[in-house]
Amino acid sequence: MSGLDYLLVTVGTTSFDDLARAADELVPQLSPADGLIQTGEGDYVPRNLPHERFVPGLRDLYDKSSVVIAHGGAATTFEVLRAGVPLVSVANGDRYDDHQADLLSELDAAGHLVWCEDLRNLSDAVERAMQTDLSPLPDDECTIGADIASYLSGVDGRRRVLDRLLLRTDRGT
Amino acid sequence: MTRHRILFVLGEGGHSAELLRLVDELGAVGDLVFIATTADRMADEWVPDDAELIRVRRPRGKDTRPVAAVRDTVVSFAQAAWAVRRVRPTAVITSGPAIGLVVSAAGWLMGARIIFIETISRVTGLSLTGRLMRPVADQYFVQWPEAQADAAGSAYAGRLM
Repeated sequence: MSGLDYLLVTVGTTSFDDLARAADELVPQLSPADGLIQTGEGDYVPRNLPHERFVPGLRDLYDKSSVVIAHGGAATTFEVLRAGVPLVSVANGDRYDDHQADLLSELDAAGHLVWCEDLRNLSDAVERAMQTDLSPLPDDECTIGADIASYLSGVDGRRRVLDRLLLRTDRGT
Repeated sequence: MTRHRILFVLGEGGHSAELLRLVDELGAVGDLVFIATTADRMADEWVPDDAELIRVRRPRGKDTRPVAAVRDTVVSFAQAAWAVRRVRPTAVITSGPAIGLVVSAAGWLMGARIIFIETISRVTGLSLTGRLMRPVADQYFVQWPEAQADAAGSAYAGRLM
């Protein structure tokens, strides 16, 4: 495999040494011209690419990346997808509130990213992400903010809890 | 009509990123006050410069023993209740970290409207926080149409990310 200009690897703000190590060990094979491994709170120290624990302007790097290998956190996942960059995602099983696999399997099934379920297959996953035309995320209009603003415009002052308990019918949206 | 005060509950990582999408739109209808745990390293960077950021203890750590978790939650709730009492928000908005539950409970008791946005990480099924928030939330959003089936009365109105 060749033609990789920039390889970005990000594990998020917690630690995910298995991902940092697997990606680092894949670097000689991928031989990107440049890249960065963001290691978070992990202990693993990459040898084959520049690395930093935290990168404040991480999202500025998405645009110049040929492919991004990332943990399955929602913020990172959606930012990379919105940037339109091929994405290989790995669920961080160390997270105590583990729902990353749920999100990734859904996005993988819809063809938006490549979900790497087993780090031993990372090489294949990267190849697949580079060679497949991943479909862009649909741009549903988000009216959550407008809906809340509209709801609040009808709210006058605070409610007493007792009223709430008696007037159960105004629950819901 | 008086301007609303809106209490935004930040969480670590993705929860904050989701919620911060609402800052501009809701800043137009109210004054925003932010609340985050002392463990949240990103909050200072994310909160707008002119807005207040209140810090409270993290209610439930990753590896804490039960005794410590109970103690932290009690302290967290007391701090959140104090903050709500002082800010007197018309609404509390959260996307579901544990601290969101604690602040919402305090807000609910003091008459604030509770607005819950289930995290985009949940495609089907609700998070633990999401289930616990069902009875107290005045507005309940999910970010996947599929998740609406798990929360009667919830709304899908697009995604924050």
